[in-house]
Amino acid sequence: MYRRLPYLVLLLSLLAACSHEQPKFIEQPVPAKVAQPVVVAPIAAPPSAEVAILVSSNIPAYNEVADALTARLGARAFTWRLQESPEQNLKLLADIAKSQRSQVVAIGLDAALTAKKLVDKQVIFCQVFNYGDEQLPSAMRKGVGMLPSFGKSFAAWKAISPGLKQIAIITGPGLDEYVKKAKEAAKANGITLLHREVNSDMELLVEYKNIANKVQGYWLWPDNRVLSNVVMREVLTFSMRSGKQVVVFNDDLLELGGMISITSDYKDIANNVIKRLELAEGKTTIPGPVIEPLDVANLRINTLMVKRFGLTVPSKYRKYLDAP
Amino acid sequence: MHHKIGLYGKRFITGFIGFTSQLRMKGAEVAQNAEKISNKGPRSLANRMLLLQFFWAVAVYILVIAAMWYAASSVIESSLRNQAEGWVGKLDEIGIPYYVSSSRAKVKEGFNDLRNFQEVVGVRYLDANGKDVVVEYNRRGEDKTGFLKIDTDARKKISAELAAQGRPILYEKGDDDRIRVLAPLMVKSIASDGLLNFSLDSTIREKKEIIGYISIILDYGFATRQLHDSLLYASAIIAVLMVLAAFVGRVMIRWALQPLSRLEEPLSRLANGEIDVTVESTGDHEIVQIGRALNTTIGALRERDEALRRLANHDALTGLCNRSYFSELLEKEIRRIGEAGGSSALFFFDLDRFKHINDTYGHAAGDRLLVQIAEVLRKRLREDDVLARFGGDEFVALVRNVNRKRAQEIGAELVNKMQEFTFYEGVDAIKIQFSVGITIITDGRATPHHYLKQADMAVHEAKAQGRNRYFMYEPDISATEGDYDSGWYERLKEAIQQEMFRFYYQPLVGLKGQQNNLFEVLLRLPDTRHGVIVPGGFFPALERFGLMAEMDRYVLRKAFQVLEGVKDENYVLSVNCSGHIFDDFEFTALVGQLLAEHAVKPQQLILEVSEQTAVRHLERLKPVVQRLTSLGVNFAIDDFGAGFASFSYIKQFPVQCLKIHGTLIERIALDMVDRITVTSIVTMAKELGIETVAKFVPNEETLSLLREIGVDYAQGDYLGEPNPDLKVQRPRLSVVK
Repeated sequence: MYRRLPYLVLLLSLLAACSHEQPKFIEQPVPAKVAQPVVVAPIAAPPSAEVAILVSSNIPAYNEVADALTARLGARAFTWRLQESPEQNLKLLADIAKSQRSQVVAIGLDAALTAKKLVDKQVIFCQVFNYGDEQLPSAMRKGVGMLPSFGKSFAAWKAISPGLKQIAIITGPGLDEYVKKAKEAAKANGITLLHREVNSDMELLVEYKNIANKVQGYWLWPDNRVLSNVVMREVLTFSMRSGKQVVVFNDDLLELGGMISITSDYKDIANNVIKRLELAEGKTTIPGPVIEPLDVANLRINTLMVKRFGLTVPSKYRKYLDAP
Repeated sequence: MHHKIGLYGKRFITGFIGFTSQLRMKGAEVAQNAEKISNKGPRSLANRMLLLQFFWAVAVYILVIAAMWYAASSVIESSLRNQAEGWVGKLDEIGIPYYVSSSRAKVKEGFNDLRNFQEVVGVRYLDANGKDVVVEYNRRGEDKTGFLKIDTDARKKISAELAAQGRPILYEKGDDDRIRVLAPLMVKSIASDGLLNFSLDSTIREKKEIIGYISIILDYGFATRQLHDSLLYASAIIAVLMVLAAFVGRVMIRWALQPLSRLEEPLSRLANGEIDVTVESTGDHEIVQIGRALNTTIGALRERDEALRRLANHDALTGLCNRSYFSELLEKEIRRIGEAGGSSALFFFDLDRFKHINDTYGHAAGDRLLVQIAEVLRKRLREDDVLARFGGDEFVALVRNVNRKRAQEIGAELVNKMQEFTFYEGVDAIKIQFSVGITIITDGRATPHHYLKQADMAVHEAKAQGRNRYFMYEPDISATEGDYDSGWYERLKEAIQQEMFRFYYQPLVGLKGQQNNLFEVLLRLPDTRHGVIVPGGFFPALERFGLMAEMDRYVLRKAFQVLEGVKDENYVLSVNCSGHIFDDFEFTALVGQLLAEHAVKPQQLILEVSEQTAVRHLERLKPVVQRLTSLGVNFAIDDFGAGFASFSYIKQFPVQCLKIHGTLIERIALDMVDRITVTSIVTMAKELGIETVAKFVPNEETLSLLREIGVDYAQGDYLGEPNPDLKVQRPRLSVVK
């Protein structure tokens, strides 16, 4: 029996390997310029009703989501793209309204605002940041988050910078839900999140400098209402000079001093949209939260800034290292 | 701002142009006055160059300083603008918290920093309407700056430029070297929701909102004052350098022009008539060329001067001294004797029978004889002695440093020499003799005329004693009556100057019905003993004493006066001229002058020259005759036909009349040869368009014959004797057809 013990150990190991849950992060051989997508858990079958997909404009952030949706929905998906002419958009809206499709996916703010005029359609909006300003959410209109998974974002940040204890987020008004979830996720990872609400880019800059001595880093959210080109550069420059870690919303900002770029995944967005569609199918209202959070966070890590801060990237995150 | 700067620039340029114009006029005025005052003649080239250099340097200096001033002012303004932009950015950061947050304490901190910058006079943060002051800063001591509210136009302008520029900035220039900078305070936001299309490489569309204004007043007076001081120092240094450069330039220009300056002295001397000048022709190429050219010219002038001197002082035929030059040399010798003592001798030579040879063999032969005689005398005399031809057949010699005895020996030698001399003409061998008068020069106080008179008296005595001899002057020589009178020169001189000569008029009668009244002017010298002396009695003396030219001019002036007094264009006077009109440059001019001064037609004057004189001085006569006939005056050859004359020389110049020699007319009725001669003369003259006059017509028979031959005029005592009253003269009625 003792002579068979190693074989038993080996067999058990093999069995354990087979039963080990697949990580949520897809291992990529070489980190590329574009963040690598993440494989999600097995998903349910898509709903059977036809779905109208309304796309705001022809940008990759919208097109990729639309393509992912179309891939999943197949023939059930009918895609429209907003035009330059308001008259054409009205006609397009009329067509959607007349159609049998009871569910509409609005990708982008313009599409969501257009779809807002549809009274008896269920609308799931995505890729919309300032849903609050536009009073988008209603019983028949709910969305999927634009920001990546807070839990995974903070987990990665904490893993890279274990000493991180306090960070700040400065946004415009109306993002309470986002902030609430972010604070929860931060707390779960041992990070205190300070939130400041401002009304302009200059105010953001002032607040940014004012709370610098209270935090160790910032998460720069893509709130266009309080960001300008100059201020973005200014805050990143200030952060570099004052030794603050900054998580940014776009890979390009790593060049200006961001330490980590965390972005959402288009397929994750699409999957969450489809999940909401199937949950809402046949119902009078759309169940669930106003904004469904995402499950995935795409990472890219600035090697130079990491070195500057004297940090060591754990092995599981090293594949996301990239010197801009 | 830019408009005001351009306006100031235009004003400056206009003022500068006006200033330089005034300066130029003033400079010209000063130069004129200086020239008048200095009376030093033309400016020197070096000074002119220096003056031009100086004015040019001053003009450049003014332009440079003006340019520096303008450029520096522009630099200051430009620098201030750049500073202003920086200040706007800085103050924007300081003031923004006041607008966007409650962190207003930091604004005050920022203002404290401003106190370190003296150029910031005041800062005001205004509300979004630009009316109310939100917060302000003033430099110590400054309460008001004069710029407060932002007017509507400024706000509109800022708003309009907001889209085009990142941050529009307005500049307003005020008093006391201050500018106000006005800029908006803005907040921006990116237009794209969620920044989903964000990229560093692309332009992000932003919305802009003005939340207030910032007004900064900057004082650049300090910088301006520093600039002015620096420019003044620089100007002073440049001025000193320019003066130094002018001084050095002056020295260098003078040094460079030195070769030209050295030409000044010889050229001045040349301009004053000195031709004994040599110009330096070394050094620079141009100076060498100029020097050589000048020296060549000076050499040519010397030669010409020498030639003219020779012409003026020497006889053209023999090359001996002429009367005037000899007189000069004689005077010098007399003075020398007076100073140094000693004695010299004056010889007067008169050829015997020279007129006969002239008449027999012709004037050319006579000239050749004179040349040979001159050569004989020249060979015998020493280099130091002076030999002259006094005209005609008279020679004079000054033999220096000889006493009476030696002079007599020389005289005897010369007489013997002449006795040995033979003149060959054709196949004839002619012996020539002369009479020599000698006087010794001892008295330094006497005049040349005194000794010439003595020598002349001596030669007359030699002639009187039989010729072919010499005679030494003795004080007790008595003058030969009729040939010489004591004081003859003075008498003739006085007669000319006092116009004592009487003018007689002998008519020339027209044989072809001519309407004009033609008279020949004949002179008479009043004499207490003889009543009047005819020309033969005083003409030789006039010739001898060099008074013929003066006589010619006197007779000419008188003739014009007479013709003008007659007031009748039909009256024509024929005036005899000596050979001296060829040498007298004033004679032609005098004729022209008299024609202009008197109401006399040039056709009323005929100038007569003897054939002998004309032939002897043919080449010199031609231009004179041409000049005079060009004035309209007529010319006549007197005593034509007596010698070996031909018409060949007549063709060479315009002659209007030939007066046939009296010897051919007197016996024309009896002498066939004379008749043939006269006929041929008249015929040839007619062919050439020349009128003829027959002189010494004795009777009616001769007159008729002359008329048949075709002579134009006749003259003679038979037709009318010379009479002092011109109007009284009327030709014999019987001869008027």
